[in-house]
This record gives sequence, C-alpha cells and structure tokens, in this order.
Amino acid sequence: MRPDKFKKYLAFTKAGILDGFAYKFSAFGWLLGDIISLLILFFLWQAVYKNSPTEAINGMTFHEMIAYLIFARVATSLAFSSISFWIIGDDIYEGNIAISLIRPINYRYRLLSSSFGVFVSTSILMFIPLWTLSMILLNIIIGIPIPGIGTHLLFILSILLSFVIVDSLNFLIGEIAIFTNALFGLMIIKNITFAFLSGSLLPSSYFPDWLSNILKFLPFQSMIEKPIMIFLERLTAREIISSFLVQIFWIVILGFLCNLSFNRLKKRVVSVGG
Amino acid sequence: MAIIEVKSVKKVFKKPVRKPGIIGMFKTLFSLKYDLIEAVKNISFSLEPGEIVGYIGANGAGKSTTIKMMCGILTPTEGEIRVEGYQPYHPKQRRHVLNKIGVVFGQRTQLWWDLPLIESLIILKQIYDVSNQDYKERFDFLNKVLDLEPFLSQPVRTLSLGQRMRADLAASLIHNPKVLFLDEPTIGLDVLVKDRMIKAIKEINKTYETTIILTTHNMDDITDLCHRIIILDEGSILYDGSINHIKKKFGDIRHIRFFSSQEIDLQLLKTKIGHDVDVEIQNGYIELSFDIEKISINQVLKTILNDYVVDDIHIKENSLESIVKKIYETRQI
Amino acid sequence: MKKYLKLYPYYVSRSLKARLSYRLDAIIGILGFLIENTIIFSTLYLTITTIPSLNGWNIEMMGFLYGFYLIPKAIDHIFSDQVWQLSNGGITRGILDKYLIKPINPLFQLVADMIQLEGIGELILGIIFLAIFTPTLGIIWTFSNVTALIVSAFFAMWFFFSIKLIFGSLSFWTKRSIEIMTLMYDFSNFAKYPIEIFNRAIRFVLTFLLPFSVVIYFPIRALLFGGNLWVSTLYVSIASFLMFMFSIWVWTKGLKRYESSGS
Repeated sequence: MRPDKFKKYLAFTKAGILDGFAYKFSAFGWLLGDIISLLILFFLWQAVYKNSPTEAINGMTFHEMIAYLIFARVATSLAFSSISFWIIGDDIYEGNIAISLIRPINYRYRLLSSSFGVFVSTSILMFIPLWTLSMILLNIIIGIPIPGIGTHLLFILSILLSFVIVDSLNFLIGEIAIFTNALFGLMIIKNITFAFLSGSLLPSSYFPDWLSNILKFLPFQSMIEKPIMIFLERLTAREIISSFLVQIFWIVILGFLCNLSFNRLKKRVVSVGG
Repeated sequence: MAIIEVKSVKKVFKKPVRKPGIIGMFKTLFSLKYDLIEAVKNISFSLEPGEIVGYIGANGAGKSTTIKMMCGILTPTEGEIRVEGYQPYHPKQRRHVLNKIGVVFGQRTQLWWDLPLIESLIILKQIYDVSNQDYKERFDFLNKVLDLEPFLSQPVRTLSLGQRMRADLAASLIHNPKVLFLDEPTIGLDVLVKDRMIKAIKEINKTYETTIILTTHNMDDITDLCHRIIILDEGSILYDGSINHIKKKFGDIRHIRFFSSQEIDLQLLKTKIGHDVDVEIQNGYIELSFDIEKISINQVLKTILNDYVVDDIHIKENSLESIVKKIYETRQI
Repeated sequence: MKKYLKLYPYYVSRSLKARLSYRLDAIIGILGFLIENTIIFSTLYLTITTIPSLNGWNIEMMGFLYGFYLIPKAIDHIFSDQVWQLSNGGITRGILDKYLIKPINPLFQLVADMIQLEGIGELILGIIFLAIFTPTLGIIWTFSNVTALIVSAFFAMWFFFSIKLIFGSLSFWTKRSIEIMTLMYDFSNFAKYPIEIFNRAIRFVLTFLLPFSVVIYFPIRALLFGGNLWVSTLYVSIASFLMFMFSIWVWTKGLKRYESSGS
C-alpha cells in the first residue's frame, strides 16, 4: 500500500478511536451485563463441580474453568469489537453505498480501518484495565499463574488475527442487508453463533465429537478459544503454530470472499441504484 | 365567547447545570444545581372561533412551548389556559379538550409510519368516535382539498415530504376539531406544495370555521392566511394585532436594489438622496430603504438614474418579514 | 374501558399488517430469537450432562424450567415492545407528544402501537421445550396443576411487563435508560436456574427485590418436587400485582414530570 493511501486509512482509524471513546457510556452498560453473565456462570459452575464425582471435568478443574470463562469474556469484548457489520448494514439501509463507491478508497479496507480504531479504543478503555484486573485477581484468589512476556505477545498476536477474522465475517454478514432490513435479527443470530462456536460460552472440550471435528477446519475456535488457551499456556508449541496457520489461512480466504462478494454487490447497486 | 384564552401564562424550565468531561458527567448526576429558564414570561391573548392567527417568533422564543401548553402536553408554571372553557393540561379536564383539537407538528409525523394513510385514518376514526356519516363527509372533503387519492394506500414511510404534510393535515382534521394547531407545517416544502397547503387551510377554515393557530418562520404563509399575528420574542409578546395595522404603520417603506458597474460612493449617494435613507451594499448590489412619506420615490429614482449607469434594478414594498425584523430590532410598536 | 377493548383489535390488526408486509424481515427476527435461545440452551445442555444432576435438577427439568421461563417473557415481548423505544431516546424525540394529544390513555397507545413478531421465536421454543421435556418428567397433569401453571404464566407475563415499564420510565428522569433496561433483562436470566445455587445476597434480590425467581422458578420447583403449586401461584400473583402497581405509579410520576419539564 502506498504511503499516501495508508494515511487515508489511518484517518478512518483515528475517527474510529474517537467514536469508541464516545460510546464509553454504553460500553459501561455492556460491562455490567457481562458481570451479571459471569456471576451466573460462576454459581452455575460452582454447583456443577459440587455435583460432579470427579474434580476435573473434560480436562479442567473448577478454578481453571472460572479463569477460562472470565478471560474468554474479556477477550470477547475486544476480539468482537468490530463495527463493520453495522457500518455496511447502515450504509446499505440508508442508501449510502453509492457514495462510498465513488470514493477512491477500498470500501472493505476502509471499514477495517474504522473498526480497528474501535479496537484500539476498546483496548485502552476496557480491555487493558479489565484484563489486568482479571489476571491479578485470579492470581491472588485462585492462584492462576501470570504468564511471561512471550506468552503475552503470542496472545496479543492471536487476538489481532482473530479480530481481522471477526471483521471479515461481520462484513460478509452485513452484506446480507441488501436483502433484508432485519439487521437486529441478523446481529442476534451472528453474535450468538460466533459466541458459541468460538468457545466464548463454553470450551470446545464440551462439544460433541461431530461438532469438534467440523470446527477443526473452521476459523471459529481460533477466535476466542485458541488465544485464551495460548494465554493459559495449555497448548503445545505445535498446536500454537497450527492455530496461527489456521488463522492466516482464513484471513486470506475470507478477505478474498469479501472482495468477491462486494464486487457483486457493487454491480447490483450500480444496476438497481442507491 | 373566546374559544381559547391564555391568561398570564408563564413557563419556567429547570435545566441541570451540565459540566463537560467524564468527571463533569458524574458531578452533574449528583448535583442539585439548576438553571432556571423562562421560556414564556407572561403572555395573555384570546382567540375567537374561526380566527386564523399567525404565531411568529425566532427559535427559542417560546412558540412551541405555548402550543404545547395549549395542547396539554406541557403544564404552565403560572397562569392558565382554557380551550372552550377547559384546561387542556388538567388531568380531569383534558378529555374535554382533546376531542376537539387537531395538531400538526411539522418536524414529526403523527401517522403510523409503516401503514398507509387510509389505515391511519381508520384508526383515528375509532379513536375519536367519528360517526360513519361524518367520516365519509370529512374524508371526501379532505381528499378533494388536499388531493390525497394518489398516495392514499402507500405506507407513510414512502411519501415525499409534501405528501406527508398533507397526510398529517388530513389526519389532524378527520374528526372535525374546533381548533387546529399547526407547528411549522410548511417547513421544507417547495413553493407549489406550500401553496396548495395554504389554499387547503383557507378552504377548511372557510367551510368548517375551524380556529387555526399557525407557527412559522415563513412570512409569506402568514401574509396569505392570517389576519392577525402575534409576535413572540424571548417569551414575551411584542405585538398582537392585525397585519394590516402594522403594514400600514411600517408599510410605507420601499426597498430599491440596483447594480452599477461603476464604483459608487455610498456616503455621497446618501447625501444626494437625503439623510433619511438607509444605504448598504450586499452582494455587489446597492440596497436603499426609505419611507415614501419622507422622501418621494420619484426623487430617489431620478437621483440614481441621473448620476449612475444602472445595469439592474428591483423595487419592493416592505415585506412582512422586514417589518417584523424592524419590530424585533426596535422592540417597540 | 369498553372503548379500549374495541380499539385494541384495530391497533393489533394494523400492526400485524405492517409487520407482515416484510415477510423476510419478520422471519429473520423470529429465527433470531429462536436460534439464540436454542444455542443458549445447548450450552446449558452440554454443561449439565457432564454431571448426574444439578442439586437434584437433571437436564430435563432444567429444560422444562427454561421453557416455562420463555413463555411469559415471549408474550410480553410480543405485545409491549414499544416500551424499549421510550428508553432509547424516545423522550427527547418526543414520541409521547402524539399520544398525549389524543383522547385516549397514552400508556395504552404506547403498548398497543407495536406488535413485535420476533417474540414468536421465543414462544415457539418455549412450547417446544415444554412438549419435549414433559413426558420425561412423569408429571401427573391434573386440571388443577395445569390451571395453576397457566395462571402463574399469566401473572409472570405482567411481571415482565412491569419491570420493563419501571425501568423504561426511568428515562423520564434520565432521558435514556436502555442500558439499565437491558441489564434488567439480563438479570432475569437468573430465574432459569435453581435459586439454591446462588449465594444469600443474590437469593435475597431474586426473592424480594427483583423477584424473578418467585414468578418463574418457585412454581416449577413446586410442580416438579411436589410442593403446593397453588401456594406458589399465589406468590406469583402477589409479586406481579405489586410490581405492576409500582410500575403504573412510576409511569404516572414520570409522565407528570414530562408535562412539567418537556423533552
């Protein structure tokens, strides 16, 4: 990418950062909602483990499960922070797609840049404080070890790649807005499906075999579960590398699909109008 | 018997003092400090049945606030309002008023967004208990006067602004209200549509003797429709009376706009014509305003044409707009 | 009163007409809630099936409870969704003005104005769960306990509505209360689980402050574990009635404030 083009995308990122900060009030609301979910999960799992004949279920103890769920929830707010679904959904709904086509900027990358801005502001406002707090509390209260710098870096890389994957998926699903106005319904389906398949609600060790097998080849696990497992140092070096490979593979494929589908969408908009 | 009486009405709003920033946000939440804003200071007027009154004022002058109090959406802080003898904001009395008023808010629609106009009208018929016969009669009349037929079955969402305003007007009148409040009804409309709306309103007033209060920024609407205007400024009434009266008082002003490719010394021009003339330059055009009682138009024109080569010229009488502007500026009548 | 009974079908039929003109949108909306709850329950299923039972509750009982939770929630969702509009900046947009100038109760108009078909997704799933899990539980259905359940569900629906109205009405004071309304909706999720698993503080809230467990969990527990179903139904009706009265009070106070201070 030429440096001047890069500057243009940077401008969108900056705007995205400011937007992210502006929505701090509703972010606070979501945080409280997450806290309620985590409370329910805590008590539920406490009761589950109490009722369990074994101390470990599907390879995890109660403490490990709690750590997993808390980290997964915090990571989800960051990895899923992309707003591309709403940008393209709104643009299609409001009929602004035509305007975007005139501009000499790749629409897809523009959305990615804006979402990345939100990613950055979410990191600063929510993720870093909450993650640090979780690490410290879990360490003090339950004795979960705080991993070293190397693990942290691998984790951050994994989350970044995960963000790009989520963003592409958001883009693809947002394009469905061409056929329907029900953005809210689409969002619900998208969010809950991603949350489930990515391991954000439950680690995949609980999934039935047929599901695990399918998911091995799909990008979902790498969105939340793999990064968290990397952070908790439960993956071998081989597994870590294979996770990154899967992520890169899907970034390429999804990127290609985004461009392909968007070109088709452009043609349709140009012929039908607005 | 006056149909609407506004007696010494005052409306004060409490606005919490807001401080900027995140810390400010928390401070605002917990502080009890308020700013008191007097939206309406002390106004009184009354309307007779069948009158059409223009209610003019700048944004924030208190127009919408007054209208809302007359509809019963807001309660006056002091004073009282009576519509056909009942207070529209009084919990027990309002039902006597609501059946008899119609309101059009220019900025928002009262219709059901996803439904065709005809469906909205049918629900309104049920809400206002309009008899089948009355409904048919009103519907035919409104259809004719507002030309609703072309878009009657389209969802309101898909209508153009002009169509939507006509639809809103129809909806506000289907139950034959005695009083019609129009809050900025022509805002954003193009000339032809505006014209049709004004004609329709006139027709309605003539046929059904509906009392109408119209708030607007647009002076042309007022001139077409109203015999009486009330000018509101910062919550107080500056003027309440007939248009003819103030036209006569301020009406002898003429405005001449002309363009000359020559360089014109404004001071010199002023000296030549006489000192009772206002001279200024706007967009390259020289603008003169003067009272024809004091300086004859013949003299002014002669002076201009004798001394300068005139490329373009306009002559206008004093518009209501400039009269009102003058009233605001001098704050006297 | 008679007038409102006559008027309501008009609102409903027209709202339905408007929603159904967008067939695909309605279907996606319904599917959305159906799929969401299916997945959430699947998660619960995968969790609970790793143990013999959760304090005596096996997965079939949890499923039945979940189904019962969905039904009053769904019906309230379908009929009073417009209250969300109030909390989502509706006050500043002045949506109440068009209600206040009409000679009928503004709360009636707010509620009657929209039929939200999405809730059908929750309703369908609730019925499916009840149908699937009932045979496995060996409940002896008598006229008495069926009626008691229906009465409980009916009152529970009013309870959900009341909570929505209370927190929606907060926007009269705070201009915007959608975040806190969402929070309350999240809070209702506690009622899907046996209250015994929670600590004392939460149990207190769920029983006396935001008694979601009273209206959902206790009746089912009575049904499945042989308690007196009619006693818990009584508690449901009392809690719902009190909450409803409170919600009307908050709404009325809020409306008064709106009329004195505008939007």
